[in-house]
Amino acid sequence: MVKYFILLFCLILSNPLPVLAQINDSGFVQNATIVLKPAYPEPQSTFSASLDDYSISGQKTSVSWKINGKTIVSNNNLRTITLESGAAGEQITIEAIIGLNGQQSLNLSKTITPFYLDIIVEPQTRTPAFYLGRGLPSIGSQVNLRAIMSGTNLSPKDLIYSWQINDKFVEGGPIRGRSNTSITVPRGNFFLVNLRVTNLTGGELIKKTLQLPSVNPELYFYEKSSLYGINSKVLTSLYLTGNSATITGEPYHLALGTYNQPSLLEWTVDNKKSDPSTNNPYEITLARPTSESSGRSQINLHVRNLTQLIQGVRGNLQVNF
Amino acid sequence: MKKSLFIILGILIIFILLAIWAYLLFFAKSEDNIALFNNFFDGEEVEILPLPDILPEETLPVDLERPSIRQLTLRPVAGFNEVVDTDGNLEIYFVEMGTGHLYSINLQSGEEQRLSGTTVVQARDAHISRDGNTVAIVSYTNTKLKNMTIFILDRENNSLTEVISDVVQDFHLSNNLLYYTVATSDGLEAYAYKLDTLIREVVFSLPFNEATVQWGDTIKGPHYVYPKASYALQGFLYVVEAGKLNRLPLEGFGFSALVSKEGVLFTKITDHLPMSYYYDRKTKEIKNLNLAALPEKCLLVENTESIICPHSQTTTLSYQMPDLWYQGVFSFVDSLQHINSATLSNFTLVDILAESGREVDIVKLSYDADFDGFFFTNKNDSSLWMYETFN
Repeated sequence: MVKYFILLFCLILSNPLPVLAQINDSGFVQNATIVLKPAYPEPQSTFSASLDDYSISGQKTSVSWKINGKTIVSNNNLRTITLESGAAGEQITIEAIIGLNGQQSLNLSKTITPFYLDIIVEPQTRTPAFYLGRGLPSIGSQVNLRAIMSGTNLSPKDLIYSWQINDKFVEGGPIRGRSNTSITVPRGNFFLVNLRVTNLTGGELIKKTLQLPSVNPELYFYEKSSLYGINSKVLTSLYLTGNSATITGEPYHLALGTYNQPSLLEWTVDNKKSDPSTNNPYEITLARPTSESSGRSQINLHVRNLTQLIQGVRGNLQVNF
Repeated sequence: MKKSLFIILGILIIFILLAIWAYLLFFAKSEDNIALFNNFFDGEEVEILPLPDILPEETLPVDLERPSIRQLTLRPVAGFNEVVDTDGNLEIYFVEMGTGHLYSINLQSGEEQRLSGTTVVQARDAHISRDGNTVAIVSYTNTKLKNMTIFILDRENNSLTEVISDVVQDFHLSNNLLYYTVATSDGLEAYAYKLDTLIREVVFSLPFNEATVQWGDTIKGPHYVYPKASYALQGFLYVVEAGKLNRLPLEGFGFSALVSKEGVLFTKITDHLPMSYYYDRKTKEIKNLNLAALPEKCLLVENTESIICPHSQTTTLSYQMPDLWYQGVFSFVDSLQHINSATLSNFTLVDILAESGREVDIVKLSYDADFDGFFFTNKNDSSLWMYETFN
């Protein structure tokens, strides 16, 4: 009896094919997949496709690849191939045919439709009217995030958006149709934004992670002419040639709430408090004490939200007269 | 004859010669001598002969009264355009910053004439139609909501007549269309006025409002849009055609772009430094231009392979560009660079600092074939400049 068991055991070991059939039947082949890197290739980009077939037993004797039904001979027997995606919305079908034990084969297939998921970051921080760029996030400021999907006919209303900031869900969890959201910048020099988009059946369509900076607000001074307005060149120091000059302090990347209603806004001239312009508290007019006087003064501007001390900025300017 | 007589005659001749020499030395008129020696004519009228025709005409020296690179205004300029009037005269019209007064400059004589004395307080930006009859002026103090007014030029009364006023975020005049954008809670709305009818039409809506728009020639488009640039934030290029937003395969940090039918000049942060590229829209190839220029300062010459870029050859730009330039912390010392997008070769059209002795940070660069010249303003003082190519 024992020798029959040994014989049966040897037969099983010497011929894996029946086992493979069992694997096929039992669905284990689903462990073999084609893995893409990056996981969601963008249109007109380079990406790689690799075999993840380590769970399959048996001798793999060959690998061939088909892209949109066409065999690429140069890719034969490669475990990883490099591909170029087409235009947005252009479907690509990747097939890998794995030869097993020289007699059987296993077909793997993956279809991808590349499309863009862009996250537009709009920090709600102060920049002056002449500034052509976007402000940057600073701690405690609000940032608007807008997801734009291009190259797909999927309507944002029929998709579920999961926004996360540093792994914490925004608004409690995934929300249908929420392609835009607002967040408050957490502490730290940077923070992570994760967005996962799924369809109504829970299938993941795409996900994206951004690392966004959180900068310290900056303050620059500009000279303002009553006729021509602000000269957009930063003042590093000012030589007072006439009897007076108007200076504007421009905080960059300061939260709009703090800029519009600062709990502290203080101009000092040589460490003595000075009244700003009545029309605009960020402006100050400096006048020579007497027409023949000369000297040097330090002008300082300090803006701060006293309930959120990190939201603030100060700067100084030397005036020679 | 006696020997003594010969001696006396000889001494007399010597005295006579000495007397003549002394007269010439002390009493001769120097003016006569100058005339004599300068003109080789004494007292006669001088005939002025034409210069020998040695140099061919095209190699004659440039008229010193009109250097190829020159500053056209001392006044700060809010906006300008090259205008060809009904008589075919070429003139530059410009709006003075701060006052909104409209002037013309005759490029032949250099004469400046005030066409309108209508004051627009805090005028900061302006566009002028090609015929010079319509002027759009934006005025603002320190808010991003800007007052835009469209005026018609009343040439008889030297004034501007207001026809339309709106609060806008940005505006642009292209052909017969005045485009402008308005920020909304959902993003950005773009409108256009047809200048002949002053009827307003919706151009497109965007789902974000911090956008830089490169306007097309028609309401339908294509128009090109990207989020305003910053070194620390990602930007993406979109095309809007018939109101529909589509993505182009270009993106990056510090991303800004300039688009033509043939290609896209774009700059983005690469390996912590700004770098410029050219995307060929036909072959979809991206070429590294091996220089860092800001597309918003450049000009793509339509239907050619020419890119004209203001460029500081000796300056290595910071990774924080273009933010530092927008803030006015950094200023360029520009020369005009010609880049061939096909061969990637480049050469300097004009070194402005060497030619003019002035540091010019070029903005609002335009080229006009009628004038055979480039026009631009200096960001440092908003003065208007011209570079005449004398082709």
